[in-house]
Amino acid sequence: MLKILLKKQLAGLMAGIVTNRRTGKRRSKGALIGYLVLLLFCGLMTMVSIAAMLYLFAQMLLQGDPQILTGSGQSGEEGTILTFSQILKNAEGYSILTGNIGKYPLIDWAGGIYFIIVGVFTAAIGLIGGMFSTYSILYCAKDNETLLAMPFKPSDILLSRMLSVYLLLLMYTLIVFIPGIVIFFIFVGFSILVLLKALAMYLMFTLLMLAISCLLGWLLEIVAAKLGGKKAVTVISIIVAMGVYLLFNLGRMKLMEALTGDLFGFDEKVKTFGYPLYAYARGSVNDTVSFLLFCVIALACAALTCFLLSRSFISLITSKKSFKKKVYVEKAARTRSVFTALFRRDLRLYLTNPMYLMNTALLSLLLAVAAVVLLFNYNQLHYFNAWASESSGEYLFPLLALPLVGLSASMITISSASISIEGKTLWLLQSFPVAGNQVLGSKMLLHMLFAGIPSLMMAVCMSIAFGFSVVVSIVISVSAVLFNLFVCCVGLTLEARNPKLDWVDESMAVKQNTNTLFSFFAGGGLALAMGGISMVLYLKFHVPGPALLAFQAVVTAGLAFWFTRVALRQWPRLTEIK
Amino acid sequence: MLKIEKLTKMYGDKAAVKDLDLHIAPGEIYGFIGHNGAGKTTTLKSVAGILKFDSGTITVCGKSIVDDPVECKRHMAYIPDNPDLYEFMTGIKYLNFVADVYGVSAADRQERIRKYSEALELTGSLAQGVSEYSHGMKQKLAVIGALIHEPDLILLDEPFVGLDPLASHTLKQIMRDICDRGGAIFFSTHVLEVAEKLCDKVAIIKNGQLVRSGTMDEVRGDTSLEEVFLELK
Repeated sequence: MLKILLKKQLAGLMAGIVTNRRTGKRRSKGALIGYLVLLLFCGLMTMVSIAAMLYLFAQMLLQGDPQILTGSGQSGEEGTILTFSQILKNAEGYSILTGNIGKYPLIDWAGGIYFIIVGVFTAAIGLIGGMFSTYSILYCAKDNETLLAMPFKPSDILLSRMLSVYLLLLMYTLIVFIPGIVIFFIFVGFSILVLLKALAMYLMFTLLMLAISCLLGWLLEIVAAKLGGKKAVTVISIIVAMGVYLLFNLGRMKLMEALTGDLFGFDEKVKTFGYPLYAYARGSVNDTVSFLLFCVIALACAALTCFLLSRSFISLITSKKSFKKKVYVEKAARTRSVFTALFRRDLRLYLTNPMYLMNTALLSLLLAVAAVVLLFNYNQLHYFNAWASESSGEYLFPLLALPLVGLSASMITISSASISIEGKTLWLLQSFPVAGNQVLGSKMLLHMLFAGIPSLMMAVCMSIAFGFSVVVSIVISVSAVLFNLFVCCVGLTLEARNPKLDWVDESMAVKQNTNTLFSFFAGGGLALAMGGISMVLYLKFHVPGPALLAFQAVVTAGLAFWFTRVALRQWPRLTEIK
Repeated sequence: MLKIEKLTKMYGDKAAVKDLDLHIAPGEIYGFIGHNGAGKTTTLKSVAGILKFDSGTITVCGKSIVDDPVECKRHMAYIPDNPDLYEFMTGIKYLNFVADVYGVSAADRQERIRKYSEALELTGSLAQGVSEYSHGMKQKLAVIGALIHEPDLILLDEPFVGLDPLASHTLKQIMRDICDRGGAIFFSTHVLEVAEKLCDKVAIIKNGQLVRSGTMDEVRGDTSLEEVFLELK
């Protein structure tokens, strides 16, 4: 029975890949290979960017500055003046140790620090990837009643869904695991033992992420059952998300502080405040006790979660949420224009759907907060810009501003799930006497409201904080808005041509929707290309800054207007879907 | 009111509907009968402008659904067999939204919402979220939403599924009222007794092709509609 349920879950996961959503037929071999190559390319690009970040962390240790390894002002112990790379290379085979730090061999200590960083990245990706989809996959699937009517054990239904979440999480965490281990091997050299251990720890770490995600989903379902519906879930999701973000940021800041200062005490602090992370990191290197301990922690957490969830699963999915019966009182109706009605509908759909809201707009909030934070750092950034201008020219930061804002904006993927989320209600919009540009225009406005405004805030605050001239500030700000329009229209075009409407739970429309991935890569690719080309031309070929800024603005505006025209023409294509 | 000429819709190599001709005049209730997968829903969706078809023409009130879909849809309402409505809205918000989309004035919508929700016994539940509605309640809400702009042509796919006997009876009365004031109804059904009692004309579709159409007497002759239908198997 569990096997059948698992096959069903897998079929749901794979449906978007092997089936053409437009025709409902299986893709041809060529199309499937092409699609997989495209997905693989997107995955590789993400891995490369994570590898770059991990490499930077490693390089901070690679500088060979004794102060970095020993901690400023602390007396270095034997071997501590070696660079990270030297330490690891000397310790090849885990037999040559150059010294000890505390009670640990240097190799374990250094490798442990590295894997703590990998662990933090994995946790961030895993939690962001899992926490909002778990609730919807476990409890809000539309096939709950169908499955319960069949001779399946409820615990099997739960287990099959947990396993599908686990598979999803494995895919998310894989994009950290692969670059993490590759970079480690670049410095240390390949070792099959380390690879096997790291692989086991990757599976176990993801299992721990699964347990946390499932527990969170369970709590959300209990709250939703008590307080009634999705609104409570939305509010709690926002609070939890902000909490996780703040914790992650705090951890990141502590990590940065430790990497540039007191690295000695860092692992001890992690041990005290986040033992599982510590055990994971040390277990990944050469500590069998930590390895076994972490496995026990992960397995115990997963087993406990299974036990807790299975006890309440059937009662939670069969209970009606506690709605208060509202008495209808007739009020004077207020008429609205077609566009206003459509926009209000889109806004309501967005704000009452925690899965859609949290997965697409969390960054909007963070972007707005980050913009304000920039203003608080006005003095340092102003000074920093002046200093950089002296060495690299005054257009260094202005030329990086739009790519940076654009890269952030690309992650806000509201429009690229906006038609899929309609699901089986799409017939309504299709049967109404509304023009395609009204429907798509309303979705554009929603995207621009939640992505364009925070990006504009970021561009303006960045311009003020770095002290850009008025003209430069205006160009960057307008371009930032247009960049969002480009990302929005790419997402809408992809959605109108290939929406995922046959979803069983909302996470399939939002998280397992390749349109969001492709629109992110379109925006991110444009941002990175513009930034890269501008930097090379500016720093190597000394092309004037204003010309390059104009180039960025023209490319962005051109693409935004072109894609707007393309997107607004896509509505009739939805009538071609079976 | 509705003119379908040589309608053909292909799904890959398979013709879901082939060379279908149908004319529905004002004041007619037209029943559409056929086996599962015969092409009823495909035809209704094509008329509603939800599905693109391969060839043929569909005109509603003299306007082509391909050339002027928005204007055609102003005169129509469509209710699918399983109406999935906006679960993030309350019943009354849904109806006001539909009224806004069709540009119904405040006074008209208020009067129609009152009239139809009382007739279908949904008034007390209009403040509730659609997510809390039963299947039958959603069906009733979809019907009220379809009637709110007093369309000339109503397309209904299996409209009586999920409705209780009283609501079914009320809906039949409403359908008759609409036709009496010059509107037209085109609906698919598997309930042959309903078709026999309610329809002025009926069309039988098999494997995407129209096999019989005309007035009830023309189609059934001396036998019953059920016998005619079974003979086609």
